[in-house]
Amino acid sequence: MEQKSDEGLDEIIRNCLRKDGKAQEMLYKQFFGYALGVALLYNKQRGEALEVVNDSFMKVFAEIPRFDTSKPFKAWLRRIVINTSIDRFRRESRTGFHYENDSFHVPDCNPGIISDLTAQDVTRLLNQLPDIHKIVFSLYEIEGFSHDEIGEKLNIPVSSSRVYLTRAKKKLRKLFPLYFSIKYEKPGKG
Amino acid sequence: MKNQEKDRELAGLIRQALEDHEEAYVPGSWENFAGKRKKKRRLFLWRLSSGVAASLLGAWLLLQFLSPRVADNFVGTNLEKPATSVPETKELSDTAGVYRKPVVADNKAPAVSQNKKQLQSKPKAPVVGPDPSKSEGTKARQLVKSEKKIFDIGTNDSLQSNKLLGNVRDDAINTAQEKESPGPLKHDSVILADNLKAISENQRRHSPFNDNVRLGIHFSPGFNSTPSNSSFYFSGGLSADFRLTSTIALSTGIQFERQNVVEGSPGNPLQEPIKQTSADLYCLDLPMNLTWKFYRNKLTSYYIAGGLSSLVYVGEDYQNKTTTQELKETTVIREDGQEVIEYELITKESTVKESVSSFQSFDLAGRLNLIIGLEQRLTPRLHLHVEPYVKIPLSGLASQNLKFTTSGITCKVSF
Repeated sequence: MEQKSDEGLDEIIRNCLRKDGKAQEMLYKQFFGYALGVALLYNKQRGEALEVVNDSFMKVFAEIPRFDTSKPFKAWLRRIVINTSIDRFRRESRTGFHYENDSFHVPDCNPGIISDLTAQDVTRLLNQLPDIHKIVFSLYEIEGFSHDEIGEKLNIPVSSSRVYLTRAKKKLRKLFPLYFSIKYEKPGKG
Repeated sequence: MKNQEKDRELAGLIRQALEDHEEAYVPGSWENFAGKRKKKRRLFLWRLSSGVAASLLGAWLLLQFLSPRVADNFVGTNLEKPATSVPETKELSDTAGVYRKPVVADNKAPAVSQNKKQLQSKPKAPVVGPDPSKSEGTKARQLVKSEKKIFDIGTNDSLQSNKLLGNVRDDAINTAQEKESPGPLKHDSVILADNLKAISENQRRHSPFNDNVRLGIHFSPGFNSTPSNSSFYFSGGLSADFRLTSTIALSTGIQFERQNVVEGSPGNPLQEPIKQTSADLYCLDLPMNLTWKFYRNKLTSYYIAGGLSSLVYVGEDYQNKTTTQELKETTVIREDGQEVIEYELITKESTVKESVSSFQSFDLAGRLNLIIGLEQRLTPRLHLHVEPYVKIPLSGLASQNLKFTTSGITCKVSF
C-alpha cells in the first residue's frame, strides 16, 4: 500500500516536472496540511503561516527539477517550509523589533491531561514564547539542528542561540503545568 | 539536573505531539495560490517590460542629446547633391556680394564650410548681377545669416530644408536668368529672405527638443468614486510626450498616487451583514496614452487623449468593517401576570485591519484613461496644460479587487 502511494507520488512529481497544472494541484492539496502544520510552528499567526505555505509551494514548483526522487518528498518540503519561515522572520526582524516579556497569557481553555496533548495544544503553548525563542527551540529540539547551524540560519551568535534555548525551556517549564495537569514532584511525595 | 530531566521530558512530549502532524486542508487555498502565482508572473513580466522600456527610453533620450552633432554631419552629405546638380548657385553668392566672407569665416562647422566652398567654387557664372546697393548689401547679410541657419537644421528636417533651399536656388536662378536690372533683384532678394525666414521658422518649430519629446511635471487632485461613496485623492509625477506625427503624440510617465477608497454594500443589516472596506492605497501609475491635438493656434492647443494605466502598489492598508443587526427576543412578565414579548435591536460591528506589503500587487492595464486637455504656451519652451480626466477601472484594483472610478484635473507644466 505504502509502495503504491509512493508510486502515485512519483507520478505526480514527474507530471509536476512537466508543469502539469493538475499534478501541481494534487501535490499542493496532498501536502498542504503537512506544510501548514510545519509553518504554524514557526509563525504565530495562521495568516502568516498560510502565506509561508504558499511561498514554499512556489519554491517547490520552481525547484522541483532539482528534487532528488530517491529521498522522501516530505523531508524536502519540510526543509523548504522551515527555510521560508526563517527568511520571513529575518526579513521582518530587520523592520520590526522583538521583545521578551516574562508575563504569560494563559488561554481560556480546560486544562488537559498529558495523554491528550495534541499538536494544537503544543502550538498554543509555543506561541506563548517570544518569536526568537520559539524558533530556536523548534529548530534545536524538533528539527535537531545544532547551535552552530541555528546561529548561521538566524544570523545570530552561537552563544545567543544557547541563551534563547535556555530561556525558552525555562518558560516552558513554567507554562506547562499551567496548561496541563502535570505535576513534577519528587517521587515519594504526595 | 532535575530541570534538565524536565526539559528532556517536555521536548519529548512536544516532539511526540507534533510527529507527522497535519492540519486540515483549507478550502479555496489552491485557488488563492494559483491566483497569487499568476499575479507574481505578471509582476515579473511587468518589471521586465518596464526595465526594457526604461532602457529604450534612456537610449532614445541619449540619442536626442547627441543628435545635434549627428545632424551637422548629415547636413554635409545632404548638401553635396544640390551643390553638384545646381552649378548656378555661384550666382547666388556673387549676387549677394558680401556673401562669401561670413561663410568662409564660419570655422565652427568644417563640413558645412567645405560644402559652401564647393558651392562657391563652381566655375560657371552665367549672369553676374549689378553692384549691389547699400540696402541690398544689408539684405544680403540677412541672407547670409538665414542661410547659416539652414545648416543648423536637424536631421528630421533636412529633407524639408533641402526642398526649401531648392526653392531659394530656383528663385535665384530665375532672377539671374530673367533680369539683370537691380529692381527685380531687389524683389527676388525679398523672396529669398522670406524663404529663408520660413526655413528658420521651420527649424525652430521642428527642433527635437521643442516637439519630439517634451517632459513635464504635474499635480492632480481628484476624487475616487464607488457606487456608495466618494473620497479625496491626489497624485503627482513626471510625464514624457513623444511626438509621433504633427498631431499625435504618445504620452507616458510615472506618477505617485495616494488613494483613499471607501467601498460598501448598501442594504439592510438586519437581512444581511453590511460590509464596508476603507482602503488607503499608495501606488505608482504608469500610463500609456495616445494624444491627438485636434485644434491648435499660435498659443493654445486643444487635445484629447486616451490609453491604459498600469498600477503598482507601494502600500495598502485596509479596514474591513462588518455590521450586523439582530432582534433579541425577551419575555417580560407584567404585574398582572401576563407574558409580553419585547424585542431589542442589537447592532454588532467587527473591524478587521489588514496591511499588504509593498509591491505585492499590481494591475497591468488596470485602468482606462480618458482625457481632454488644453495647452497654453507660456514661453517658447514652456507650456501649461490643464487636463480634466476620468480613469475607469477595467478590473478589480489592488489586492482586494476594489472597483472605483477616479476623476479630477491635472495641472501640468511641460518643457
